[in-house]
Amino acid sequence: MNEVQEIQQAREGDELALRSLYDRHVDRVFRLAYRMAGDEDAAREYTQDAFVRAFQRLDQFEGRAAFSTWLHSITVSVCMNGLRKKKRMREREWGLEDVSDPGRMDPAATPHLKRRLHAAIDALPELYRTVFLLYDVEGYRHEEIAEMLDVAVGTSKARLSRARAQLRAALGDLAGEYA
Amino acid sequence: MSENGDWSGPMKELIRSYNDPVEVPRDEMWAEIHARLGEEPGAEAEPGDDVSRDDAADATVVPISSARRHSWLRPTLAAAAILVIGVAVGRWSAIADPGLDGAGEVGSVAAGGEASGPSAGDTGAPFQLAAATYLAQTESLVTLFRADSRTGAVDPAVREWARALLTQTRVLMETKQAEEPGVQALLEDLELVLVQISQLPAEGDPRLDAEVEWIGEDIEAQAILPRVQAAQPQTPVYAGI
Repeated sequence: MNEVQEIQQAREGDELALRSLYDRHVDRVFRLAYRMAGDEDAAREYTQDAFVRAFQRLDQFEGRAAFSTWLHSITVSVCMNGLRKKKRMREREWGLEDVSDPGRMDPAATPHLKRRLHAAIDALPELYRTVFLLYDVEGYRHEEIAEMLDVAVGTSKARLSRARAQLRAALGDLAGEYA
Repeated sequence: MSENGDWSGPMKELIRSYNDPVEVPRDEMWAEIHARLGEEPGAEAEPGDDVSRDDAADATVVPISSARRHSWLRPTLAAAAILVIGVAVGRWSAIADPGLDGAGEVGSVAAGGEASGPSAGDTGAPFQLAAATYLAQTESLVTLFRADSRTGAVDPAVREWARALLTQTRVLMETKQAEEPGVQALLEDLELVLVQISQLPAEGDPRLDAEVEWIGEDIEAQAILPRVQAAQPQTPVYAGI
């Protein structure tokens, strides 16, 4: 049975078809959620939310893009919503002064390049970080990212370019030394 | 880094180690998904049923924030609710993002079909004012930033102002109305601009000029000012600096 047939059966409530779709896509969805959240509990929550949302909206899948692209688009949306909520929670609990930019830290304070790099990625504005993760870390194409984020391809490229520029600036001479 | 800007060498490997995933808890997650599909309204609907799957999904998609389980947060959420009503009865229904598919979202936000909004003297007037003031202040800030950036010096007060508006933006983003595509797109774009302005490097920092230029490009590319202006009511409100 191909995926189109499986989707049709899943729409009709076939549990085996739902499970088969889940098994085929869960690794990539969880991986994407984990990359964005950086936390296993959150990644599990977002993965579950993404699948529940997708399965409840199978009727809305028109087949114009690949099912995986549609599913990953939902995943990114769920993750971004969830991360925003967590960020706002932190702001309320700790005050804006402490966490206006939770991931931001002085790169010079963390001597290890890996830690400096990851801190710099954390510090990117969320819309830049998302495109950066999708393209540079997960290997999506700009066309796929544009579809997933509902933006123009040029916007995806511009955000990636700025994310990289901000990372280079944050890493200073180390970026050139290791690249 | 290669000519097209892609990373190479050890840096590429380090980037791919960012938030490197752990083992997938496949069966545990499936059990939870299966249970939720079974218990939530609409999930078991047969084809042809009148149950709105979309509505059911909307009710469950966004993870229930623990904020909603803490009573101490109610005042904050109440404030957000006031803004929501202000948004609903104001001109948010006029927001349309020309950069998307051109499908205007006119009238889709106004609750209960009250697209025309309340008349003068209605209890909704204070709410309208709250939303209108937010938009007017955002417009003033962006205008001031653009003027400052042309002179090459961004007033430190602009950063602080951007932080304050960023907080208001995020409150709005948590509302139901913010899920409407036009509203969501505008608030996301405003959030990005405000984050960047609020985090501008200090005067004298060599990164400052480039950052200011990027923000200016974002403001232009996303048509921020025209969209904010289009979302405002006709009656002027105090934008306060």
